[in-house]
Amino acid sequence: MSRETIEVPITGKIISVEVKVGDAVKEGDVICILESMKMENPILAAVSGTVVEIGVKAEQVVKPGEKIAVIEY
Amino acid sequence: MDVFIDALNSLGQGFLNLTWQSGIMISIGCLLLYLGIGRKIEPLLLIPIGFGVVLGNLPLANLAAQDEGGVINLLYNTGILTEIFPVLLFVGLGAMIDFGPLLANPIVLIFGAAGQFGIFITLLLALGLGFAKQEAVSIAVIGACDGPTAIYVASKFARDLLPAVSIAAYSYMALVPIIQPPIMRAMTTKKERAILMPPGEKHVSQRVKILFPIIAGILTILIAPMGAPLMGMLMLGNLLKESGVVSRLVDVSENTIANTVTLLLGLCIGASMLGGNFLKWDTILVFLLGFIAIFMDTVTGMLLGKLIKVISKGKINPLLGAAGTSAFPMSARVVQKEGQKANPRSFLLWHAIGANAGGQIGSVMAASVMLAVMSGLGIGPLGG
Amino acid sequence: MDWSFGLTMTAAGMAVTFITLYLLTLLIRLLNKLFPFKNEEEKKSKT
Repeated sequence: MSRETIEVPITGKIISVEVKVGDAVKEGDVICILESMKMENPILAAVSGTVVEIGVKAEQVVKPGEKIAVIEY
Repeated sequence: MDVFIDALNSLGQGFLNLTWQSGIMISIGCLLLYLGIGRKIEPLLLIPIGFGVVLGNLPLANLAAQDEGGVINLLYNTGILTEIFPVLLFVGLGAMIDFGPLLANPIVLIFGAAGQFGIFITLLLALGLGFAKQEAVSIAVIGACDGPTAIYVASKFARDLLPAVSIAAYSYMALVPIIQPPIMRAMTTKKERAILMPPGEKHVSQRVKILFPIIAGILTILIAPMGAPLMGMLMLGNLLKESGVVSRLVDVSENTIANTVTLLLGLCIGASMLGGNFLKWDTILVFLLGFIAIFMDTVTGMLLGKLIKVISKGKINPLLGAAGTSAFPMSARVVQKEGQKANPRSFLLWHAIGANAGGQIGSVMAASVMLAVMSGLGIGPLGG
Repeated sequence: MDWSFGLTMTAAGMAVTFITLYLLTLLIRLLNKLFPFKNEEEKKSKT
């Protein structure tokens, strides 16, 4: 099985995490909401699969490159 | 007894003087209030404007912007006709805008020029439809996608069109997320929209951030001095923020000043929308032309986007072209959304904000050039 | 209609806007050369 790691694209704050470990996600599903530059931006699943790891929680301040989630597909 | 009846008479006068035009305008005001409160569309603007329309159209209330000596007339004369309100808003705008992405990746600044082309196409169309030069310029500036700039130019040249122009400018700004996406999709293939750009933020030195508003302000004002009030205040606001030593002034600029001015500006604009100057064919034309202006801004922005995509050998996503309008930050957000829709890995926001900030500078520049040409040709305000 | 007015405005407007913004990109490049970002407080840039 391959793994896809979703990373933080831009400095900001996680507003909410929409999935939990073990959830099945489809490509394009919202993983979490990241607030940056005064805007709320959804971070999407790049592949369809199962969430095996989540690296962030709500209210956390994040920097580019940090791990948001890992999806196994 | 007669005295008593006379006294009562004067109380009912409002009803007797109510005309059908003011009735319609009051209904329009209430509709704006409903949109602002009930539907939560731009409430910060629509509530003051809507209530301004209601107040301004109530007979004998002396609250229309044009009623000599009335309270709103005083605000209108001192704030709008002198251009103080739009200019003050620019300080707030400058304090809110982040030139960081633009400074890190200056090539996106060019998009800010392409996003202004709609202004000039609309100018030609308005002239073709028989509008006077001053009116055509005021209508065209709706394409700057920028309320304060539109109010600044219209209050200088065509006061009769001011209400229509400012309402159109603000409505289309709010409608950017609806107007732009279909054009962006029609003009690109999914493959183009899916182009990934490294989302990474590049940092720039704080010195660059501080020097940019100073030097860019000096340079642009030397090129087009007529636009100095707008550009100067925009750069001042930004310098306050980037200097990092006057957080109190930044706070005042982006909150207190911007909010106070928005309230008074909205009220005055609303109260200047009267049956006589708003319920006419020209108003519909202004809205129509304003739409074309924003439509063409997007089209030309996208065309440049595609050109730059080719020049950069496919490294730059053409969607960024649409962020060249100065609807800040709506256009950037639209670009981010469309990119993500085409490719869930895509994150264009950082770059789009840069192009969008470029659009802000571009629209002020375009307006400044128009003002300069007008003064060069010796064309003054319409009707005194 | 007054074509010469409209066309003058369009040509001047687009030309000056483009040239000014281009000058600004040069200015930014110059500023970035003179004052490169030196990870002033933290070393974080990975890419």
